[in-house]
Amino acid sequence: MDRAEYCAQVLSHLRRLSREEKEAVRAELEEHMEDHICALLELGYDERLAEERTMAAMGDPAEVGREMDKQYPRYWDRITGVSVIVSIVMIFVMVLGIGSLGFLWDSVAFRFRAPENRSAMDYTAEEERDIRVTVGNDVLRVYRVSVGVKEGERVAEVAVCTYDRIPGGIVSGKLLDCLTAESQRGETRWDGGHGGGGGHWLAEYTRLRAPVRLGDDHITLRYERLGETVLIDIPLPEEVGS
Amino acid sequence: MRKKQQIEHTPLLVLSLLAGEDMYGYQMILELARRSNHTFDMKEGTLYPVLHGLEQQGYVEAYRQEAPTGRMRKYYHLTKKGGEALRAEAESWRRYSGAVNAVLQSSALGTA
Repeated sequence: MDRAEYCAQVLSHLRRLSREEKEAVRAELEEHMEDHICALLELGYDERLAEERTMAAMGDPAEVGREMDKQYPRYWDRITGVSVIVSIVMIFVMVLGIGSLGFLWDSVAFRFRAPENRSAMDYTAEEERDIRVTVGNDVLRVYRVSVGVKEGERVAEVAVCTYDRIPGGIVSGKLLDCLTAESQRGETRWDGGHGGGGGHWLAEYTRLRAPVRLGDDHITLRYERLGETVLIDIPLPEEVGS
Repeated sequence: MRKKQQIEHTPLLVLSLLAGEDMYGYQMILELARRSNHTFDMKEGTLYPVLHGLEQQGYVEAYRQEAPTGRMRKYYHLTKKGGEALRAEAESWRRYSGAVNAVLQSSALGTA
């Protein structure tokens, strides 16, 4: 048996290894045998005897091949491992991707239409508005103003939404948190006027209420944060019979 | 029995060799024989399944470099994980061999 035959016999048992891995094993074994043969040649062995001794020192190629094969994961184990990883990644991509697409749609759609977002109050007047104010990198959009009665109190209610100036950009959650509604006399409701809302990191919406009296013609939205103050006067709708 | 012991402890011996310096296969065979006074004259081909197994486990990593002979060889390097495994296995072996010695020394065979 020569070096090539020895390597061929070892490789014939490597079922779990890729072609590249098998070639790497062949190269490594050949290099080892080359070292051994050269060492024997330096000791005065002739080439044939040196190769014979080297083959004998290497051991049974079938045993080496079988043991080598055991060190590598089965082909199906590798496929299964890869499949699991790919599946997990795909699930993440789908969950995040589908969710993100919905978020992205809101970020764009809130520029043109906004959620209905009504409360259980008795509305006596209502008008669409399209007032847009830039606050930092975000836009605050007032899209509806109503007047009605809430828990026995006469109030004006403003529906607002926020989105980043760049479609798909992240909107600051503090924008709506720091927004309050006040009457033209500076009166606010006990809760700052915040009604129900919703949203996510790309677009948010809510309702704000301020107490109003007959004859009032506007309320004011006030945004105050980190020394920045933004005041937005919102004209009230004209009530029937007023 | 001797063969079984040799197979089980070859990874430990290989890791121990690589703790001193990076080596290639034939170099390890020579060094192992020298350090063990030829007690561990293993079949040389059987070293490679051990090396590849250690590599698969992340205990060693391989790279190609020119050997002092001028030929390119695949060198093996002990990883941090391999170093930790070596310490654990060496400690385990010391406990085991200490226990065997204790039994031998206390037996009739050991005191004969």
